[in-house]
Amino acid sequence: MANIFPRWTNQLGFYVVVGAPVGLAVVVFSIWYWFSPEFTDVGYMPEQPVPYSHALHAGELGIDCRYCHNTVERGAHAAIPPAETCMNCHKFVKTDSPALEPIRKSVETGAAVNWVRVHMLPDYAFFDHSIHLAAGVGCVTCHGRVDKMVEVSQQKPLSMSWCLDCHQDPYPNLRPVSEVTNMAWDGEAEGYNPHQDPARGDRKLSPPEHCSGCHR
Amino acid sequence: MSRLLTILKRSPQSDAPAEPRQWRSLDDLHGDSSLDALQQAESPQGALEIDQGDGVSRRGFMGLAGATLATASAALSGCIRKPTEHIVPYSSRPEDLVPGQPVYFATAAHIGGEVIGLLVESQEGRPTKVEGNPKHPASRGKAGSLAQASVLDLYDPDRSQVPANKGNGSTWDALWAAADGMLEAGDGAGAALLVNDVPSPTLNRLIAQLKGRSPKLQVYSYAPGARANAAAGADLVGMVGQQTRYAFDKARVIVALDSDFLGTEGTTASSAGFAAARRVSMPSDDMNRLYSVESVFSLTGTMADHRLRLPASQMGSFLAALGAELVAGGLQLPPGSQGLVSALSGHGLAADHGPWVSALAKDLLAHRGKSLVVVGEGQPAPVHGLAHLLNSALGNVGETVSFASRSTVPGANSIVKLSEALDAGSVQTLVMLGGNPAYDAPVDLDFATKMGKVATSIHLSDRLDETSSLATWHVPAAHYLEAWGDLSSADGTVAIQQPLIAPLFGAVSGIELLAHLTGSGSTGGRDLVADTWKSSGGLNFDQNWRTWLHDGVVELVEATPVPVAAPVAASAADAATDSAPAEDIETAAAADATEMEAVAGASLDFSSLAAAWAGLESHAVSSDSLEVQFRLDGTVYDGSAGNNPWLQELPDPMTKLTWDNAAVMNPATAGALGVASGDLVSISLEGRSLEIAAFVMPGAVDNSILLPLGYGRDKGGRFASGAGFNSYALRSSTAMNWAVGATLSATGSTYELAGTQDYGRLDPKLETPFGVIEYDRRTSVREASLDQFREDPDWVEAQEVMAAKHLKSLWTEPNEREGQQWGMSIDLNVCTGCSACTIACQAENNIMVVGKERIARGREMSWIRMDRYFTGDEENPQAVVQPVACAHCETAPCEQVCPVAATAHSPDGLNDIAYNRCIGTRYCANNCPFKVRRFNFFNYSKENDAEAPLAALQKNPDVTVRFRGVVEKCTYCVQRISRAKIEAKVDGDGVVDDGQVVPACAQACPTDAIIFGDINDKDSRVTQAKADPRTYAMLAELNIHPRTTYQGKLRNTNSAMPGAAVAETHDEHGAGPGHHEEAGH
Repeated sequence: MANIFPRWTNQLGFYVVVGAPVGLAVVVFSIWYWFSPEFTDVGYMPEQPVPYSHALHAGELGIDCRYCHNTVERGAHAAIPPAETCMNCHKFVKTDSPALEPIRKSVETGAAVNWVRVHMLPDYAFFDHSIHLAAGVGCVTCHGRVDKMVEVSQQKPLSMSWCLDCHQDPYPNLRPVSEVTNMAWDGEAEGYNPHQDPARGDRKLSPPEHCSGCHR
Repeated sequence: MSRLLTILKRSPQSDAPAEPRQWRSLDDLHGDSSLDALQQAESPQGALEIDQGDGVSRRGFMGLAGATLATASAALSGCIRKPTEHIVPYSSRPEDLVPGQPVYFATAAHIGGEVIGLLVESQEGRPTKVEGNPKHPASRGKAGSLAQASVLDLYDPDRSQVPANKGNGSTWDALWAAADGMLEAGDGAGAALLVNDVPSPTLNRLIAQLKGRSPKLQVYSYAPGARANAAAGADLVGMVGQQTRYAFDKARVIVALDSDFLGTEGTTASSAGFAAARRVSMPSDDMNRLYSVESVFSLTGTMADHRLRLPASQMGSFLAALGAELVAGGLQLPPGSQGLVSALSGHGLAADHGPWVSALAKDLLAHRGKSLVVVGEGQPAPVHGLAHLLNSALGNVGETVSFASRSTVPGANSIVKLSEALDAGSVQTLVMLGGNPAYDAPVDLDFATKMGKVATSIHLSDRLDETSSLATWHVPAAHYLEAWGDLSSADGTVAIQQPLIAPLFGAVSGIELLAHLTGSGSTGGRDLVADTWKSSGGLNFDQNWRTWLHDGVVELVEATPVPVAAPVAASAADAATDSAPAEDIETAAAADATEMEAVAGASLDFSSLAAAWAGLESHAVSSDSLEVQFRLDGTVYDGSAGNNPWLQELPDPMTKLTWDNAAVMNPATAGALGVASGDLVSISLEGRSLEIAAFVMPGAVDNSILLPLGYGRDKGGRFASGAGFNSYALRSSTAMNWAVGATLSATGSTYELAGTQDYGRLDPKLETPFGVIEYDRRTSVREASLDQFREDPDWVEAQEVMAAKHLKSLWTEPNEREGQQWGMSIDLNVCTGCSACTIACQAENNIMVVGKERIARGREMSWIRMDRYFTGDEENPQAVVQPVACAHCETAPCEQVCPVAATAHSPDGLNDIAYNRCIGTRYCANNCPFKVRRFNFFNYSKENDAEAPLAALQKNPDVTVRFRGVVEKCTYCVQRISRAKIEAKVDGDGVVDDGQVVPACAQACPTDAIIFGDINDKDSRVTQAKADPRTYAMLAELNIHPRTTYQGKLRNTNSAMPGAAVAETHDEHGAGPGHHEEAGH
């Protein structure tokens, strides 16, 4: 009888049995890593309509985060400031700078500036800033060293597992509420122990780990 | 297994299958097998069809999907980044505005015939949710379903955006060029103004000013829901220009004669007042008693302890018979009314109602000063007058009944007079502020044609409706959320209406249009309203103004109700000292316009009543001479809300029909006429005819047909068109509420009616391989009489299917949970079935509208289902209502079966759902015993947005908008719970106070039937409600521990009434669970 199968099919079975699980593992790993927010979102640095530099304003000039993002302690969103806030200083400082033209136009005409959002959560996840600040989570914990960024980029994955890592064990990430905007604060050096902070009183932390904590 | 079956069987005495004691419809009662198919499939017929018209079969779709995936995966690299999102801040942010935090503004609206104080939630400048304003004394923080739904009217896709000239689009400039100052010059000859019964001091002031300058101007007022008969009745007994006010909370015995005061004829205040006297916690508590005499089955009839069915045409006889019985029982009639005694004894009521009337009379006599006879709008003025007489004789006037001045335009004539003027050709300019007379004016006036005779007609309306398309000029009307105004309630409270958003399409309000027409100075609404109140504000006007706007109530003006010296023969002197002298309250700017001045010393005068009574005719009804009743609809009111999809889709509180109205009649009448539900019939009255679908529902009186108004519009907008039938076509000015002499004939065709009454029913006889399990659905709504409650406070337990101690659980029972645990209690004793909760939930939670076809397939989306069950005799049943939403069971069957754990339990007792995780197997919906889970079969939100793009502005940003393929259900308003918890943690000790979290349903309920709170807090209201002996859990035998429990319904049965046994006792199960132990195996 003629050979129906070519000779190389003799080893085919062996390679499939060994190669398929390995291949599957590779595919799974690739998707797990390269499709995860860790890879896809960290480092996202879109171009903004106005070349606003946090490194200059927050870093060099030392303006507190909350001067501009003033709703962060009362509301869910740390809102991008209205152009009016910029003009508080820029009425007097760099009044002719072409980079600030969109801001001046905005104040004159009432048209808004189209900032590009950097830290995005999907619409079905609801995040509240005020409660995190009240608990003592620093801005730098989730946003990184913004005071060193000329252009804002996303430093943390902001994925659900990343959030849950802290929700399941918040204490290592806490700082005194007064230090929330201090990007250079070093908890270890200060020897801060949130369990023994008198300012916290008896308030127990209860970061939600259940679905409706964030998904409504 | 046989022991299990025996435990579940209800009646060991007989093997005959038990008939369901609570039945949703006649088909349900008679075991119509077509309903079984509906009930067994979680998603009934059509589940496999994709009806979007693409014509893609499932197989084809899978093939396409596979191919697409293969190609897409090759190009995936670089396509993982989420799309660019923009953040667009204000250029200048308003002070104190925190993006994401809603702001609440107080305003008021005239909706459904009542003035309601409102607190409207505004998210980033867009009104999204309407609530009641607790500071408004007349409405006390409760807004009914019409008010809750009104926010969507602001974003109505069919609102007109530009004025129209003879039906063609025009411009504002053209309009003002023609209309500015039109009424300014001259003495007003040939000018007519038609308003729609709005009680507004500013409007009254402007009209008074106008009439002062142009004395020949004629003013008319018309609204389909205006209480013309009640007003005429008050006029008849000497209370000219007054309206009746009822204090339901003070009445222990209430007789509602053709009055649906808990439904379409009432206000939220009347429901709340009634509930205050109805509520019972301890057996020793007092409970009021409601008698209802009506021809249709209304919500008031549902609540009634005793109900008598009579045609509307015979209500006068009934009241006369009652009067005769009262007199015979020793009641002294007021002086001047002796002439009526003979009329009373010649009442002509059928003798078999005698016992009913005499028992009722005895009850009233035992509660003098604490009783109330309420007559509905449908009855003519003499009947109202007689009721005032009886109330006066019983000492109720000043206690449960009082009078207050009507604050609608004084001296306005009726639309009949306008029609006569149009006929005479004496009107050259007709200005209509609101309303829609071409659609809803009495048909014999033929208003639409007569409008054509007028040289210039101007109609202010929010859309190019039936009247506007015939008018010379159509002026787009501003929604109340966009306009300034003021409104006064029956008790004299005035609320300023302030806008929350600038008019979306530059529309104007009634007062602004009037100012334009009269060419008087400022035409801005704010200035016009401020001018009315400037003199009342004193020196501090600006500050007072801001306080009034903040509170929503003008504190300065409080008219005391007109005191009436009830002239009971014996103690006229006492009566004079009892009533305090009325204070003259000056509102200078509104001096003669608003009639806020109390008239001192006015008293009831019955001298003209006898003559008016003699003029009443009596009618006999038969199947050849039917009685038809015209009533405002329970969901769309008079038709003005017809284009509101929420209200169209809201099941009518009694018939449970959506999207259509129908001619409602009882089975006996239908049988005699040879008509079945869904038949298209033709009803003829006085030479006019109407084709309408028939609907058979028990509870109405024989030969009386209910024709709800408000449907069948052809120019109402996309949702109103094609919905229902126009009953106004039969409503003539001589018979505005009911008429006798109609005939009905079948047309031979049918009409599909979509209703929700047969969904979610439990199978009374479940066949299993092990035998038949008979399910007693009586356990849904547990009912008993007040006497039984007093005898046995734990009567709800006797109605358990299985005693609690026998219940076992498949799962580990939850331990005492720590922290705050949420729970809810619904008091069925005060729930009237008004369905305000359903609409509030829809507004708060972005629940989509699915349309009539899908309702017919059982794919309703509303999270709260208002069930209505009939009980008792098929011919003359009673009814009970029950709102059902997700009960957040502690061991929820839905959580156990979700393959992807999309629904889980939160540590504070909520049954959560993560929409993004759900893959749409619907196993949870299948497993839910309460059938409260809803599935998004299609992308309803995309469909809704395509139909009404503006309505996307109404959506609540705190709640996810669900996509196709996910299951949704009540979340106990978790967004409100989250917000309260965050506030508590940020500002305080992390513990949410009782009353800080109020879900939308609880907030809307006019009777406060729904109570929500922390069940771990022993002082919270909900814990106390759950401690009530009447508390029970629905389907408790499943042992799933729902967090929503109900408090059983009580009927305050009067044992002296015939048919007292109708309010069943269920006491054959009084033996309790004990007998189950004998069922051996």
